Amino acid sequence: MGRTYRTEAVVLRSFRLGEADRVLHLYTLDRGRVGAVAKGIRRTKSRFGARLEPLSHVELFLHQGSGELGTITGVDLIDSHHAAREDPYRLGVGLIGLEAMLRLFTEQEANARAFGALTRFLELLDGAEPHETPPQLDPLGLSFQLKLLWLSGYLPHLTSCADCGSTAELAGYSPTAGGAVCSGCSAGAIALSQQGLTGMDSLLRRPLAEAASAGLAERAAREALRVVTSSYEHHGGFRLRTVPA
Amino acid sequence: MFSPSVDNLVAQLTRLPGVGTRTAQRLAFHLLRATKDEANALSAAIAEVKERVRFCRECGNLTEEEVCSICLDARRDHALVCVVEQPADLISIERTAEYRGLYHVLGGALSPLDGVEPEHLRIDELVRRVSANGIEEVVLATNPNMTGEATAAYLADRLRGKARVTRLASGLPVGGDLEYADEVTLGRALSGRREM
Repeated sequence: MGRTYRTEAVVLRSFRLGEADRVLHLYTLDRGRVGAVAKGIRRTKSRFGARLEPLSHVELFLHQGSGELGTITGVDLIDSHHAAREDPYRLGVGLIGLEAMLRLFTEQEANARAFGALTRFLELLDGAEPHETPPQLDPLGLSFQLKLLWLSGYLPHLTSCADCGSTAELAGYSPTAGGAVCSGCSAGAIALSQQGLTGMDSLLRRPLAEAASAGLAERAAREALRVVTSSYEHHGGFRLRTVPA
Repeated sequence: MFSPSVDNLVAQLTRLPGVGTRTAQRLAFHLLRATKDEANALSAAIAEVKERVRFCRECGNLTEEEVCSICLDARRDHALVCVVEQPADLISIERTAEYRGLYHVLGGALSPLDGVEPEHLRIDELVRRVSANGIEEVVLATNPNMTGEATAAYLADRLRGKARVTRLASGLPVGGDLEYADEVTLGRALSGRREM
């Protein structure tokens, strides 16, 4: 026996199904990650219109039948985030954020803080200034990913050596140890500069809205990206497709 | 459930888009009732299309020759190229009878989340074609969704300085009521309004 419920959601991804439908991967406020079918959405006369494009923040009416995928029966737009979707740089940052959500939050389990971080990230992305550097080095995108790692329980420990506990100068990052390591424990670790460590610490401590003002230099951003990437590889066994190797 | 060969036919038919098990069973029983000649004609048509149809060397459209009839048509405007994602989109534009230029079929849209990068589409061929054939205008007619818009933005960037690049207009469907338009489409229609 199916039932219909209502929830806020962000569209993370969509792909074609059959002649005119789409399967949507959603992150919902009430149930976490949910999959649903939007029937007839690809037809120009569809009542869903352009409301269910990736990045859209919506209020959904979902019917959950006996199958794994729900069916979308109604949608109200909260924020289309078209400003983020229509600029190639912002879209690049947004897709990295969406893929990080897709890979890190796979369970149908509510996580209001993760949902709040996602909607805040998208709001800030609408007004983000495009940079000369590639989207994967954007401070807002990196800050969002570090916070997602934190919310997933993989927060990199950056204040002392994650291996021996020493507070001596930290020289690298070891995903196995779960954080920064001192020079004595840095065999096989990713080399980190003081600038990189300070930059990541700053991104973790500041709210998302202040990521752009953290003053992250390109070298620090590249090191933060390496830390995030190696955390994904070590803890989740994946690499983001939206981040070029 | 019926016989191995009927089950196999049903299984093959359900692989077609929009065909579920019940429809596949109906089609299978229709074919069983049909004469052998009718069934063989269908089978031969499928085999022939797979054997003879290929992609046009110039534009990527479906054709039985090396170059498709649209590319060979001298009455068309050879300085104008319309870029579409799939051959089915080309047919939709042809049905309008408003367009008399050539086409370029990309074979999809950019989608980093799905691993579709520029090198997987016929983008380099388009850039080469525009540079080599004196094309003056490229009309970007990729789908008005996220991947289609991202592809259009990427192509506009690649073609900058090589030709005039235009994009299909977005807005309200003709014949519809304003009250049923979604916010995004109506917003695009407003921002793209034109003087009368």
